[in-house]
Amino acid sequence: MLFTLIRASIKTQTEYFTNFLFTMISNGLAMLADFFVIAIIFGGGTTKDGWNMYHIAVLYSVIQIGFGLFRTFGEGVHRFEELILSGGFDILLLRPAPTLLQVALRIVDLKRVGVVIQGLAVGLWGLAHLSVPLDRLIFYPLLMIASTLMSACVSTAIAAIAFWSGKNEDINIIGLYATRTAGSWPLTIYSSFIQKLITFVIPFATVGYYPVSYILGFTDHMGALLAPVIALAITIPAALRFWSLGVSRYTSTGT
Amino acid sequence: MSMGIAIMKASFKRDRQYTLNHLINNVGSFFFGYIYAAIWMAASKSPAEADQMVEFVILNQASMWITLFLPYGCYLAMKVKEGTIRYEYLRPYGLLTGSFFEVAGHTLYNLFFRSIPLFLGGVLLFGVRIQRPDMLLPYLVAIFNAFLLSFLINYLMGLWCFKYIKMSGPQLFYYFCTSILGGYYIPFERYPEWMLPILKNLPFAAVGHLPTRVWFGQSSLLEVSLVQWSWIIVIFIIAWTLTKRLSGSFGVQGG
Repeated sequence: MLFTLIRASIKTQTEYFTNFLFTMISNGLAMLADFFVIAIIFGGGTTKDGWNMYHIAVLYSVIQIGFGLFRTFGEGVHRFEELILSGGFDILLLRPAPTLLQVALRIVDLKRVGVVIQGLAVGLWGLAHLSVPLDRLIFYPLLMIASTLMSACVSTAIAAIAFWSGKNEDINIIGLYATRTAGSWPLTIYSSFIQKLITFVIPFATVGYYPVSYILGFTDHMGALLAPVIALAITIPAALRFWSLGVSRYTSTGT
Repeated sequence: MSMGIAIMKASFKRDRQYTLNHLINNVGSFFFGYIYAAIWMAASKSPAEADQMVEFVILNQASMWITLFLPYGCYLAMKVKEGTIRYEYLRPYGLLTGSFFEVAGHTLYNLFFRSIPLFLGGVLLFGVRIQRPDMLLPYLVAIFNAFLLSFLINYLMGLWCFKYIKMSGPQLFYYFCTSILGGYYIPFERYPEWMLPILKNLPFAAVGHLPTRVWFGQSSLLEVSLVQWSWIIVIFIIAWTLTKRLSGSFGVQGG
């Protein structure tokens, strides 16, 4: 069933092939534009704790790749509001598969692959300019997975809010887009409030700044490397529980 | 003209229904402004430079809602998708005229409920001040010109849907261009010197960075208006011609 859903979604995506191709390239270019901003701002300088353009490129890539992968396979969760407003969620309740999985795979957004490719290119470019020991570098791919899971958890929790509020698009701006962007930069440039927010509340720093600090040699503390494991051990069950709570409270808004 | 004002009022009233959502969205938008302000503070070499960059970020964050974030394809994309575009041809005014007043009403709403609150947030939280009150009126004129140009560019992207149904590709490409060439996030002085004459004369700068230069007294209103109106005239002619050509030859979805 999983592959049937994916196949159906891909077919829909490629129906307007010119637009599909153009959007995939543009998605990647948009990501490149973001990185261009970093390159211009930190061209030859560093932050006060020593992060330069290449370090930031690595951190940036971890968060962006995670977000890109999540949007590729979980776009349905990201756009869950549409299902609630149309009443379409009713149909998913009748099917013999977990609702969250069905919602996620409703849209496999291949256009986001452009974001992943560009993110990877930026990350590898950053790493190529740094001397990162192999025993630390091996954690880089694992961080991409952790970052994808974190994006999925945060997005699931925000999607579940729609069970109560109906709309959640605007909450996405602050809950996902803004915190993800904040997580793409070294934590130390922010005030203590924002540092705590993206460490403990919407914890993108736990899959980005802390473990990347370890990989790049800014710290040797094992806690930094284990931060994603600890954070995901809490956020995955919490997001799933919140989703289940939302499903149990769901009343159709459709006809 | 009275018909145009009636369309503007209707568009403004339609947006008023979502004021609460937009205010939540403003918090997110302000958070983004905060992130970029924090980044610039970290990258600035002196407190004076940091203050100017914070003012730059807040000003652009507020003006984006008038000059960058216009409705997706000036509502044309939605109308083509729903099939309601045909009704636009039954109205006693042209498609370009109707779209203009509809978008103008929406933008007026954005001015009151997004731009002004965001700027006031900057005043309260970052201590942003109007350093040169004599530049306020010229700045507002430059912003109005930027809105006209932005409307025409977005309208052109809306016309893309007449041919290709979806417009996410050109939309993202436009955001990519404005991100790196528009000067919303980075002042032109940070770019390599040889790029300046090119950047200043592109339409992306005419909607983005040129009004900000008027605010800071770096360019005169006359100099900026000349670039803006050159582009307004060129793109208006293209938009007008394409509207005529495409109106008889597009397929309608739905309806």
